[in-house]
Amino acid sequence: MTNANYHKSATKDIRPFFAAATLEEAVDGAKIRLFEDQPFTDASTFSIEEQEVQRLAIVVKPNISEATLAGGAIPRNKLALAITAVNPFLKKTVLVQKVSLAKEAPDEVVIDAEVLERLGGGANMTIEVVLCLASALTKQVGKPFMEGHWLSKKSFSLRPPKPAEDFGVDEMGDDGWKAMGFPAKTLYYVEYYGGVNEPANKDRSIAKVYVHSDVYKKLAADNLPKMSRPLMAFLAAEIPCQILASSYSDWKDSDDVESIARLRLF
Amino acid sequence: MLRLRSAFSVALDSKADEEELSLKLHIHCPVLEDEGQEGDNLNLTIDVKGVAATPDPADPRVLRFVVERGGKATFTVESEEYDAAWTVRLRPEIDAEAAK
Repeated sequence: MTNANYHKSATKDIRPFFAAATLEEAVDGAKIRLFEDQPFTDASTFSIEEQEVQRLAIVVKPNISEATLAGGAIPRNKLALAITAVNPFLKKTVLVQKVSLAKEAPDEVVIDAEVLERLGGGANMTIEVVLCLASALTKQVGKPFMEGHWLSKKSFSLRPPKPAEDFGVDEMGDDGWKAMGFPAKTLYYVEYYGGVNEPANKDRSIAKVYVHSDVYKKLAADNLPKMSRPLMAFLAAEIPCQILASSYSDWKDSDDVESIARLRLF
Repeated sequence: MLRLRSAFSVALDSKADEEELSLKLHIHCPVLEDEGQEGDNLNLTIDVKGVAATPDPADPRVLRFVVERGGKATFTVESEEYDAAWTVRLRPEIDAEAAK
């Protein structure tokens, strides 16, 4: 069969607020500007180089749709607009602004230097524009009821550029493992090429890692199963250890670690 | 309490190379927990039209069927009752079965 590896999945999250679905797209028109000399954009992911961090001057335009608010299932005086900034690595969130929508929404919201400083500079940050409940409502099926329940959300992600890959990770099925002389259900294998204590070269990997397809598919999915975290932690510890062990002869007699070698990362 | 109802279909293009394809469908329907992690799966009632699908004896959310070129399988799903404050996720996953 030609499509033996065919795999497809689709994901739909169903929140219990179907009676307020008309408000779902209220902040879809939100825009952001990262630097003073740039126009506003509705793009949602940005790569921020280290030298650009100092120039960040972030302004968000919520562009909340007045028509959507007027026709929504929840009166606007019960709603609030919140702008938050999160550094996912530091697990730190700053509430930049929260305003009641009893009156008109602000045209622009500035994410100032103090916020960026509290979040480690701004190169790794998610900014969210959120329409949420300003105060608790009586519980009704299909409607939000807790203060802060969100109805519409738009996220902007700022991330540092990805570093060069030190080793690739490929999936391998039962037959592939057998062809390599391993049991069909082998979990992972590290093939060390060499050069761990030589200056890093982005065109040359130091190793190749194979992970069993069944595990790889689960770990590569957007929606991680609950049990994936311990397995990821296990692989994240095991793979570098294997590389260190396999490369032992390359560095056991070295006096020092090359300044830009991958070995320095360990 | 709420129930989730949904329908989706799986078709094999009329220009596909294969005359027919053996597929395995696994319908996940977990309740979402903190940080979007998938929790326990809800029980589902699954109705199939267009093909003869065989449920896996070990897991009724897994179905095996063969779809012919130009054919279409339609699945209608209904969950058990769940708390009206929960968010749930419907995630059908399809894999080709190895040739027998």
